[in-house]
Amino acid sequence: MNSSKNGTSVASLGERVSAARDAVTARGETFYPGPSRVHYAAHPPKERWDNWVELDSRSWPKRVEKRSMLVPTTCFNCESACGLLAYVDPDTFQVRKFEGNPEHPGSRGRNCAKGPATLNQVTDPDRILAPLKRVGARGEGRWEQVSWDDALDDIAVRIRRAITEKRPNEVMYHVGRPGEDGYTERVLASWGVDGHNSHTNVCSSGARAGYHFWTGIDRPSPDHDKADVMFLISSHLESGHYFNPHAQRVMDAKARGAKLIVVDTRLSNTATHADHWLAPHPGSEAAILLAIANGMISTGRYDREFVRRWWNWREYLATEHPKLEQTFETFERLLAEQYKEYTPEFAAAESGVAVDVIEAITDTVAGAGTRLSTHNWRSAAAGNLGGWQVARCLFMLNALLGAVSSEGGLHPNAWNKFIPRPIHNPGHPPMWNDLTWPTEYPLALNEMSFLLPHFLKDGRGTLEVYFTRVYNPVWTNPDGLTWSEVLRDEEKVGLHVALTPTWSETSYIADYVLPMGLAPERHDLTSYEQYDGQWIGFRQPVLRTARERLGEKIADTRETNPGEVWEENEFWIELSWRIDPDGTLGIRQHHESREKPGEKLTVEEYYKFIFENSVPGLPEKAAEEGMLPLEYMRRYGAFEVLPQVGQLFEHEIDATMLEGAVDDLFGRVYSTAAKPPAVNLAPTGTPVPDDAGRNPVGVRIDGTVRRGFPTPSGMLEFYSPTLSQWGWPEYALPTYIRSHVHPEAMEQGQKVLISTFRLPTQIHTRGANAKWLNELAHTNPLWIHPTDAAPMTLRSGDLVRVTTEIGYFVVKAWVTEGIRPGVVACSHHMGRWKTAPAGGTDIGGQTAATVDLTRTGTSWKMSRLSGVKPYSSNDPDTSRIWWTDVGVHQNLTFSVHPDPVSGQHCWHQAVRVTRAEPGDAYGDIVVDTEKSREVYRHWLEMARDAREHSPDGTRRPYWLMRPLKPSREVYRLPEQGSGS
Amino acid sequence: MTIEPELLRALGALCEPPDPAHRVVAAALDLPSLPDVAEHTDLFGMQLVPYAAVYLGPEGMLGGEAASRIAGFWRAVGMTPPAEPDHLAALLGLYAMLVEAEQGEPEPARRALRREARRALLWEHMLTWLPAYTTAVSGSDSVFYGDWAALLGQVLAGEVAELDPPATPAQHLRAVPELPGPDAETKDLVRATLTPVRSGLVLSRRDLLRGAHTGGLGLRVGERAFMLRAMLDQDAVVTFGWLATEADRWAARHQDDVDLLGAVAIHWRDRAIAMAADCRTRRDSLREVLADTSAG
Ligand code: SF4
Repeated sequence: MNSSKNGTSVASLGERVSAARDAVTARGETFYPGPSRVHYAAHPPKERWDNWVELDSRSWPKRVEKRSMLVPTTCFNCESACGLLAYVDPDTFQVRKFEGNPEHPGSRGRNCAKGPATLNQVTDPDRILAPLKRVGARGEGRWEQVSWDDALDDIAVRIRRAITEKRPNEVMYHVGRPGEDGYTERVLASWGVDGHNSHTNVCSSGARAGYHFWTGIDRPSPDHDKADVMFLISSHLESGHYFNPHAQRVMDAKARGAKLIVVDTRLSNTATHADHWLAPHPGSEAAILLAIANGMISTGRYDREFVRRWWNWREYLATEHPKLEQTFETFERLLAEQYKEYTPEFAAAESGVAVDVIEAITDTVAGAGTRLSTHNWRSAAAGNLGGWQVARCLFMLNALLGAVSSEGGLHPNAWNKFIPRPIHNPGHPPMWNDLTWPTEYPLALNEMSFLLPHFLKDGRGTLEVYFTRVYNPVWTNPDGLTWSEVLRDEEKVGLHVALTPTWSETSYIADYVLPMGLAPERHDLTSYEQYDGQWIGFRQPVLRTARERLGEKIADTRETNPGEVWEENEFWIELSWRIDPDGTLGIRQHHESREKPGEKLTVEEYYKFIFENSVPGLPEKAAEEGMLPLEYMRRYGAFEVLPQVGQLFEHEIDATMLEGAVDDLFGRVYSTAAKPPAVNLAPTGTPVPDDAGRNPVGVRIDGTVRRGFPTPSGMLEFYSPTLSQWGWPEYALPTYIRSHVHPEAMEQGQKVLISTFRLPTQIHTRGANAKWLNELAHTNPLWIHPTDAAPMTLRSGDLVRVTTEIGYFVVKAWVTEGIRPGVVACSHHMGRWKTAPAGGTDIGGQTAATVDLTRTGTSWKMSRLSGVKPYSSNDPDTSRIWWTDVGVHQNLTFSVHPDPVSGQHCWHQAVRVTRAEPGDAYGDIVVDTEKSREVYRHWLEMARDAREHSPDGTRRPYWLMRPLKPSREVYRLPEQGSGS
Repeated sequence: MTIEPELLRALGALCEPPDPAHRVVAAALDLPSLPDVAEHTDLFGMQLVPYAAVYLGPEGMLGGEAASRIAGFWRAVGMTPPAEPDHLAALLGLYAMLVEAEQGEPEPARRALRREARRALLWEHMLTWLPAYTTAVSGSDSVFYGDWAALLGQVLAGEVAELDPPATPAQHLRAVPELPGPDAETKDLVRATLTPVRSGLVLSRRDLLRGAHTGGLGLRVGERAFMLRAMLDQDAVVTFGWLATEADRWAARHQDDVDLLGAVAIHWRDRAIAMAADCRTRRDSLREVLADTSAG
């Protein structure tokens, strides 16, 4: 170390630098230009995105410079919608690679393996590159290439006919994870059809229901970043909703010393990072949560003021205990009474988790105060009958501690999400679709999508045009062979159009397969709750943007996409115009330009309008960099609209909004002031006006009118009058419902099968043909505990037969202590298949096993002919496939289990696991779809029909969220006997 | 002498990527004209990354135990650790802040406490690696950063004169794993060699390049472990010989610091001496084996 110079020179340098700083700051300039550090392992600085130079590794030892233009887009592989940066070669206009976009506020430059693997999907040698029309019978596997024009005309004519012949409910759009915010819902609204169908009821509607009944908003937004205690009922570090953005914040918090509690019956990667890992008997999660709540209530370890101010306890007392003294103290006494049965001993008996562990966790949770972040999305809420109460009981912990929208607490998602107002906003469709919203499930949070084939078999309706959009119900949903039967039946489904980037079990049996773009080939807008803040992310066709940056004019995304691959935004505009070419149906107006009236709207104008007019702060931010708002979004791909939103419910309501205000009995304030148009269209519950037509504007808390929550009462609804009035009074409070896989409900010798977990590097059908991802994960063995394996002398790799209610599948065992005894687990992420091509196209080469599928009446048998193997294509990687396994498609052997309240499919299965029998082979699947009909009918009987239980003659509480919300009059139940 | 906190901040700012605003800072410090970003990236991104964990951690990598210990120090002084708590700029900024806190504290007992925090940061998390680091940077090709490192060295030396070492030895240097024994696999040996706190050596990519050149070996470009392994695979005798000479040089450099830094420099010196001896033993026994084989 150099110490040779004397100290005076150092001292004088110190003075000089101080003086220089003073001089610079006196001029109002910055001396140190801020934290400009780029993480060395990370990202090129944005100033150099136009011309980023790297050395080409393949040219070594020559130093050959490789130039790229970096264009942001948004990953399309899961709902996290992380930012990607495409490295575009400016000479060949090919994407070289994808990395993270450091400008994205949610993902902050990071991705999971599936983000960069987008490149595999783009260059997939088996990609669908042109519109295809089926030749021969459905599912025969023969196709002819058709022009977009012909396909569009054919589809448009049928939709127009359905609309003009007053059969609008025969048009249905069925979406997997949308990966965009509201565009297509508005397309359907513009057609005036109630034809939106989502996958949500096989996914998250259980959890959504739990959150929605409390807060009027259906998703959680945990602020892990600032939490002291994080409580996950999920495997959020490796998969799950928004997992990459959340996981990085969970890890940051852990590095800060925050505690992590994970409830998962399986030793997931997440569980391995937990301070407390609980592996309960599946379905007992709510019992544990209520024991924690009881532990806090009985010892007074909760935020009394918060509960007094924000819970709807007055309404509860007045409705359920009108004779008691109507004071908070009475409520507290009742609260303690209500939950006292949930002792740690009770929870331990239900769950198998030790009493002292439950007590320790109670202390940890109680100690978190307002810094408790919690999350349940699928997992237990999606597995169990009554699973929706798991999310509800979990939220109760936040509600007890006042950890709601607090720093480090749990935020309702709509406040951490921003949906800007679009150029056209068509009104509500004037009809009700009973195929998706049947009267049996008036409280279902989302469409009863997985019952569709049963409803069609029941004769409840038929479909003229059925779109599956990046969705694969035959494979993803339970009871896929019933789906297969119905989708092959041309009387039930007139025209099946698959909008998809990849082949799938469902697109094989479509009439049209229309290739849609991947992450770098389409426009979409996204915004998701990933921390306490609001942002928007922009997905864009990167080659189009790159060429436009170089001065070209591109009018149609097909010009820059591979082959004839299109994007949905332009497709829907074009299709809408063809349905209503002269505008007489009133559809075309919603797809017309404003700048050039009478002409077709372009995506350019669509997003230009939004970014210029509907995103607060964006025009100013863009101007700072000398750009127009659309240019800014094309350059950076994301914009943070609002950091740190905080407790919106506490906001005082402006006096101008209180014109003619009246309070109801419990402090809900209604006024005659006109509602200002919402700036943020993020969906929430919509509390209805009072009988005099006054709008709910807030809620009076200790004399002050505050914004409150979008629930009927404006409060946090600990007590749900909705549940009580619509036939479920026993569930009006957060409670524990015994699951259909509770030990008492199971037969001797049965085990619980958990099928709800993902493999971290796979993503349902979207991972198809991503070679890197398939190389990483390509099998789904059955996790089984050594104590369960021993009686069968089972070793890892041995074949087992897993028998469900409607059939069985044969899979390999994996003997592991990472699962609870008595429970087995198999990931649903594997087991793609295709039938042997009968002279047709051989598709899905890297992903799908080739199978023989035979049907005798209602009996189906699938046997595997071969797994995957190397093959030659324009991608040398396909000749390097070294694995053969693709896993087993267990979902085919599951029947439907609709939860009678939330409508969620309850995934867990009671199964028997036995050694494979002679003649059984890996991947065998046997199913009787008649048995699945019986199971369907059995679960249907549990439902409480609106026709018997509706308190007001409507089909569904109007205030509840609904992706497409028909006009209010359509909510009336049809007269009995008149049909619907 | 009382240090001017701004000087530390300025030195910290200059190891961030060059920005036009840095011109004034560099001029105030009498440093040559600002280099371009490529020079900065080459030095701080490719050759000598400015994170304490790389020089103090038992794996010689970013993050890990050393980084969390430093993050713990940030917390101990009541601050939320930044995203990269062990980055040199962050450490210098923190040090400047502690100096200011001490200087601005009128109450003697509290002032003494603040001084202790400053002492701990200096001796635990800075002097344990920065002498070796600044020496390595001074030896780089960059004129600007060479001068910058020399100045930083002087400033630190001034602080050593100001603050005696604390009574307890630095945590980072306690229980540092020894070099692997003679039977270790190549990959463990390579890892240990490239872990400065274990080997006493700071070897950049450029050093390896020089080593390969000196020994007449082909160079395979990759991460440093890959490069070194490739050198060993080609000619272990030559490579161990070269490593031994490097270790000698480092031992001598650390020896120069012993008077000033005491135990800290002794740790580094002894590790380099052990490394030199180890490499020679390996080289010699390999030579013997080779001689036996060719004789047989
Ligand atoms: S797949 Fe991975 S990278 Fe893509 S959005 Fe999801 S978490 Fe992000």
